[in-house]
Amino acid sequence: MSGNRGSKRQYFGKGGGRRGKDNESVVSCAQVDENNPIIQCFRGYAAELDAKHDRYERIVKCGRDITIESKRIIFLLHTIDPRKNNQQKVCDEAKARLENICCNHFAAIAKELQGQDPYQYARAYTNGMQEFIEAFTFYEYSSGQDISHWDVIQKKLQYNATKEHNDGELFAKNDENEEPRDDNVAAEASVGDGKEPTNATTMCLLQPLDFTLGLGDLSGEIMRKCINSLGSGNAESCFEHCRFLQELYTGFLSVISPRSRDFSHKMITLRQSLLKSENVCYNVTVRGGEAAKWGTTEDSSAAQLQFHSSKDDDDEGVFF
Amino acid sequence: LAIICTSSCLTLFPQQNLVNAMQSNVKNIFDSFNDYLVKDQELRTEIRDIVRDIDQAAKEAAIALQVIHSSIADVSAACATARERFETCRTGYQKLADLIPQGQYYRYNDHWHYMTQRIVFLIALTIYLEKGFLVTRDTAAEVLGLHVNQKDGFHLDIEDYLVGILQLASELSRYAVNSVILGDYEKPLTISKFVADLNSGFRLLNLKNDSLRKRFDALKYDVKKIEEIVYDISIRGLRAEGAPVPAVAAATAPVAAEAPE
Repeated sequence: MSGNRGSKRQYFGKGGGRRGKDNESVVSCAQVDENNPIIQCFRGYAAELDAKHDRYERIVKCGRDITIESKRIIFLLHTIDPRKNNQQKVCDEAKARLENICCNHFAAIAKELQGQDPYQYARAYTNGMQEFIEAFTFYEYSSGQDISHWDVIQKKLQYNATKEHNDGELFAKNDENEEPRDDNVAAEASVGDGKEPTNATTMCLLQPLDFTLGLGDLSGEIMRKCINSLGSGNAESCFEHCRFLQELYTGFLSVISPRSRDFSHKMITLRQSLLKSENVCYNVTVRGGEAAKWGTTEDSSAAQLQFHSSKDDDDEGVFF
Repeated sequence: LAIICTSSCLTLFPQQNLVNAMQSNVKNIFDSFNDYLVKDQELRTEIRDIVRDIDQAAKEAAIALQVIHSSIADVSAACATARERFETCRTGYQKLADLIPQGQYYRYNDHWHYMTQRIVFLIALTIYLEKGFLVTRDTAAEVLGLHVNQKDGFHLDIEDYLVGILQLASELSRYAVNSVILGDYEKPLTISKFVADLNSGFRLLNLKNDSLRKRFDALKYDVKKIEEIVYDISIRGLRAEGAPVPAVAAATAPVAAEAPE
């Protein structure tokens, strides 16, 4: 109490707290004693912290670029329309752009991560990574391929660093290559692959959790596709999409206690998407493709409405 | 509704083999995701056990060091006890280092970083009581058997170190009060000089708006508290002559100007 009064009195004496503070910082800058061992230590710590923060920010920036470009690719993939027969063309373009992300943006992150503990910076690009996974798997789904295992994508995110290698980097390389093996021993494919690039690669770590969350996002896109194909009169493919969503939902249900809050959130969204597309299938079955498209009945109009409202809530608003 | 739809999907879908292929792959992905989670959980359980042991030792050291607030004579004995406990911590950290795969320190970091902060604080306090200077990060890491450089393996994270040092400041403000109670009027002056140095050290850092920054913002209250104690002592003429008042006054917070008045 008395301390408060004391400091107030002192501010008045200096003619305002603001100026007092400025003076004080000037004084402390001027009088930093360079010979003081504490100061010397802290100079080192400051440099280290700055380096860390800068690296983090650079990675965040790359991650944002990846997010934007991935959203555009998803938008592009939604333009596939069987009536225009443009599937091949759109998929080719999407593939090129996805590869471009791999070669440029992720390579930039991998370069930043070189010799670092990738988990330290994982949070800086986790959103970009999830969006990329969404775009990539959506591309695979749209072009009629199977969804890749995360090992396959992880392999795409490994780069040969032939240009710049010295001892320090080689050493770091070994650290990082430990990871795919440790994480994915369960996956048969990875055992052979993980050991292969032991000497001259950098990589951008893909965490399985990010991959799974990306798959969760994919469900929203599939749901849109399902409803779109109803609109374009391609009613049979609705069942295909719905079926896939059911697979995804089953997969998500089977996951035991993930350490992530996002995960349960994704589950709820996924369930909504699933119900919507099941509703579509139901209407197609009962009324035939034409009737469901008009949206005259209670059920299908409700499904359409739900679809629109959820777009406002939780989606990125790139589509439409 | 769902049941009807499922069965209709099954019967109506034309390309049954494609569906099966897709099914196996999604299932495969989630199976390996589950395997991954199970392995992760197992490792975390092991980590938790080790962390609990280290935590216990740290707690004992903290209890031993509490005696400094009630008795000046027992300080060196308390330091010796604390140092023994640090040895226990050291072996614990060795176990952790063996357990954590290389390059995954920050994956499991959350299990031990609070604990590490507290232990760094205890080490810093012990060394301050013994020698009267600030423990460097290198020394703190050495006491715990950790590396300083991230590339060398299991290391002492710089932010953990800095937060530990900030905890030291608040403990020293309490120590200053109690040493006055115990009749040692010189101690607050040395503490004041020390904390002022710390403060100017932290000012050199560009802190982001994170937890370290938040913790640093509390430092000025510790500084203020100690300055007030110095003021009380000086104004009543309780201290011996020749104490480094100017250094204290120039130190930092606006309150500092009170001292020479």
